[in-house]
Amino acid sequence: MRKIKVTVGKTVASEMELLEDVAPETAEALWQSLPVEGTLTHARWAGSACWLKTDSAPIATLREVEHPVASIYPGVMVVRPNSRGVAEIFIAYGTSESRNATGRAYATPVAEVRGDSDALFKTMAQTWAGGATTIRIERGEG
Amino acid sequence: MSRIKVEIDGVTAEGELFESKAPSSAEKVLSTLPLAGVLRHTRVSGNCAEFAAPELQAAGAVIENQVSFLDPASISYRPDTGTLIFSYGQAQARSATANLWVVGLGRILSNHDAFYAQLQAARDKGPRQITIRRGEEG
Repeated sequence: MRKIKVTVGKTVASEMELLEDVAPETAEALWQSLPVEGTLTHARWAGSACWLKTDSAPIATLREVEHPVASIYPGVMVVRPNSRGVAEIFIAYGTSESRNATGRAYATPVAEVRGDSDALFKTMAQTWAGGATTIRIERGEG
Repeated sequence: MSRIKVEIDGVTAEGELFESKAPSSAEKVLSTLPLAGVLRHTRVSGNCAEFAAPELQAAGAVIENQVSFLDPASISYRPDTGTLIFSYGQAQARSATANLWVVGLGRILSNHDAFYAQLQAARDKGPRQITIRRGEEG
């Protein structure tokens, strides 16, 4: 199983495992799009989650949701395609549901944290109290 | 029509309260002013930020002038939690599990662009300082 490394802010790095068995096309598209860097902002609709948008291809060119879910469990990364040529990537740190202005917005689960997630969750939660931060997603080892 | 002044980190906007549509709520809120505290962006309701204060709580109060979708510039009120909600775009009163009804309390009348920028800054930069005072009677 391939792994990715997620760095939030300057110091917090976590290893996530690609969910290739659940969403193989999306997992492959994310892998081919790495590294991805951007601004990690707290969710407005989804609850205890943070998100970034990227125009990196091929993840940004996906149009279909694969293995659709609405709940985003803590430590899970999901991808939401949209028609504006970007992918929206969410990571939950607590109770979260993929939503937009009109209600639930189904998304593709693409990766999940392995190991200790406390520091990552605390840093993501801090974006609500302290504002947006940076995120880098890159290929990991293994 | 009662007027209020809402200041967020140095940006002031004037608002009006819908006393005819939400008389008890307007009276309750006016009775608590001035209030000051921390404005936080909501996490499940979209483009809006909220300010909660114990003085605003009114357990069991009727939800007057019920709204769920919060239009830009709207001022909404949750008596059960003592929360005022200021919207700057598409927004809906929601909890983690459901849509909510809240009081359609009033609206912002002036300085919209700068006021909206402060509301969005509560998400992009973190909580803001807010002060709410009585304004001049309209």
